[in-house]
Amino acid sequence: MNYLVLILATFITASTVLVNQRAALRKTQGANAQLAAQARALETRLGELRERRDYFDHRLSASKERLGTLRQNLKNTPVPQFAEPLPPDPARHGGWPADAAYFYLPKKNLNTVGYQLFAGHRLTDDAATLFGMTAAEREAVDAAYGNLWRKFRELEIQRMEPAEKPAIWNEPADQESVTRRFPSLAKETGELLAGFTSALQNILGTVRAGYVLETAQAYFTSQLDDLGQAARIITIWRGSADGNQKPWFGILREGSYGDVQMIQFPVEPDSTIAYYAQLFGVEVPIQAEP
Amino acid sequence: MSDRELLREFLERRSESAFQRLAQKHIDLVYGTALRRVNDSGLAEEIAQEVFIALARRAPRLRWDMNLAGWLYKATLLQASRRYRDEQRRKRREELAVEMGATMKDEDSLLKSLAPALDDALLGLSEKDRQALLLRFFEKKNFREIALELGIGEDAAQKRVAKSLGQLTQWFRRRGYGVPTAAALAAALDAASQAAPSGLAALAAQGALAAAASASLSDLGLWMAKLMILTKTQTAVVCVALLSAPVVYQWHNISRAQAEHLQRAAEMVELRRAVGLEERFLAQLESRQLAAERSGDELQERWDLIQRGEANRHEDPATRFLWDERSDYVRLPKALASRLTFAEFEMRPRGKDKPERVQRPALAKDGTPAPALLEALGFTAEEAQSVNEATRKVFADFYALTAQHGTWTNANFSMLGGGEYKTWLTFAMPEQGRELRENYDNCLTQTLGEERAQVFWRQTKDIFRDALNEFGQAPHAVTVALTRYGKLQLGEMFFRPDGSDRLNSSSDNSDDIRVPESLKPTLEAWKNAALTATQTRKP
Repeated sequence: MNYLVLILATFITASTVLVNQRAALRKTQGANAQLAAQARALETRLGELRERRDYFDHRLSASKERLGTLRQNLKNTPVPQFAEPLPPDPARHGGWPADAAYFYLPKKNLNTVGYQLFAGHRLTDDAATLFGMTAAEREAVDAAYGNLWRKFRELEIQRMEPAEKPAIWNEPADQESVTRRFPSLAKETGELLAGFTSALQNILGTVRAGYVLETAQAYFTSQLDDLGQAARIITIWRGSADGNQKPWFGILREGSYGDVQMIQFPVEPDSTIAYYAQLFGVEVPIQAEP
Repeated sequence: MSDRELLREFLERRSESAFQRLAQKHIDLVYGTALRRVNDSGLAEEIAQEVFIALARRAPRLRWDMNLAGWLYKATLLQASRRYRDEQRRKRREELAVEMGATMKDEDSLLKSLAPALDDALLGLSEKDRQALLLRFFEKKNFREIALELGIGEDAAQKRVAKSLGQLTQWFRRRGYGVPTAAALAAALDAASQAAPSGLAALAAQGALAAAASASLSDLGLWMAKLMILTKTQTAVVCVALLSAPVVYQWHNISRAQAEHLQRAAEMVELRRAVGLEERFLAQLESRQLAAERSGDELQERWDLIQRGEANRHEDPATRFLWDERSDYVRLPKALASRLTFAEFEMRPRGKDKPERVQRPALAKDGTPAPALLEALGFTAEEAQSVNEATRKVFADFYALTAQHGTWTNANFSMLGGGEYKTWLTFAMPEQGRELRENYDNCLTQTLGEERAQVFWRQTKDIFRDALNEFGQAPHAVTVALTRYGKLQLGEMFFRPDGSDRLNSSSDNSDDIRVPESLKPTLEAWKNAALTATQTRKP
């Protein structure tokens, strides 16, 4: 009898193990199929992007060559006198002239336009074009923003102090972490912002500066942590995610709940995370420069 | 040969001689026990035969680490009991024996007084102790043989017999039997062993073999029998060996699948990194190319005007896009239109953080284009009305299709668990979706011309991707939930055509997620329930 029990027990155990194994195998195979499909979609996307890059590479080379030739030709020609430019007026050809390479946008609608204002501490081409800046204006705006950015970061470094990682982020599986506290820089950066506003108004005039400042303020809030108005604690640590150790970034502003994010993919080189990781001497995956 | 070897010989080779030797070895034990129980030699012989028949039949299923004498003894008692069920008569015999026992002194008379209760007394002992006594007194084995049989030392066998005798003596004394000493009991037991009539062993073996042969073992039976012959450890090893093969095979498959998963996951990270990098690179390249092309166009136009001698009659192309304080408009390159987004902004609260400036979608939930977009692309009133109607129609047509191509499902895509929830899953409908999109594209191109239709499409394609799930290229699910705390929660999940998750969002604001018609009654009912729950909590 005991033999039958033994055999039965072994059979039941083996069956249970097999059933569980089968479920685990199906789950893994399903996940693999999903990953394979996602990989195919990404490969297709990558292929498309590379094709477009080749296309733009080719066009950029052609444009540069054309520019070089034209500049050379114009250099050898006496500077002509052009007629006084006419102000933009859609009344003549409509807002979207069919046979022109341009269109008209009411200035009052400039605050309904979404665009990237800064990249790498400078104005983007799109922003400079949108606000019709001359080369000199653009250079001056770049200098004003560069000055603001540099001084804000210097202030941060001067006032930064070591701190304890906030308990709300502590998990048993967490490993090494670096935490720094930044006291409120409201007074100092208030002066910086006032200087930047004044510089922009001088360079662009009040109206244009107003549009640029509206977007700049939103950019400072989201990308420069509101220029340190509130005291902050920033921690970068290695924590568990799906059984693996991944870098995490957390920022806790005084009087708020704070934000935490796992750094799953390489971050952009001019991102906030990349900046603080370099400042703290912590390694996080950063995208290579194109 | 030991009992185990004889039994294996019998089972494996159907050896009659082996079984006869077994019967010969144990016939006295069986017969003597039966005789004591039934007190009838004829009946005892029958019982002995029946016990050996049972042995032949059950041999394949016997545990091979057990003592055969013990099994035979129990089987004999069982069989004797079946043949001797008169309980009242047994009790009367016991009472009589007790009365007699008090006065009898010699071994025969002691045996007669103890006989009716002897088997009960033996059954009261532990298995090991009983086996020791059976071997010593009923099978007449010396201590060395007992030691061999029980797998212990000779001294230990002697001590076990003595201890068992002592326990047996105590058993009788506690029940009022007159047992002077353990030695007296030993002598009585010695006398109790009944030699079986000569030839009974052969007779019993023959009968048993004939009976066993009539119940021939099937192949499975033989296989089982062979399996049963193995020890527990051997059986366990065989079972594990047989059953571990598929387990190991599956384990190997799982390991391979997991290795593949890790490899694919690593590939995905690499691919995503490459795509991210390529997108950044492309954006920069496009921007540089656009600026270079625009500068080239300006210089070319300048050069052409100079060549034609018309410079003084035209404005400088290089100043065409410069800010002009005299005008209420800016002039912008058309190529830039696809890189900008046109829609109103709003300040969105972020808990205790500073509100965030967020641009609204270029299309409202019902498909109405943002006024800023219409104005940026210079729509006339007729164009705006036509695009407005076409876009709202495509949304309405799509939502009507979702009601026909969906089902209820058990999944919950809201962020909060617990409570009640209902989920409507819209199936993928690529064919119908493609037709809708083609009709819409045609309408846009006819109304706006190819250039503006393309810009309009670029401005709104993300909305179509999210709100219409790429025109139904993949399934989409919406959950309405009422948590156990009476809080309304909505969730939606967009899938990719391969079935993987693309986007999951959740909100407690019913304006954030468009609820399908099928869920609207539930939404209204639970909105009221949530409102009631909130009002109840307030005091």
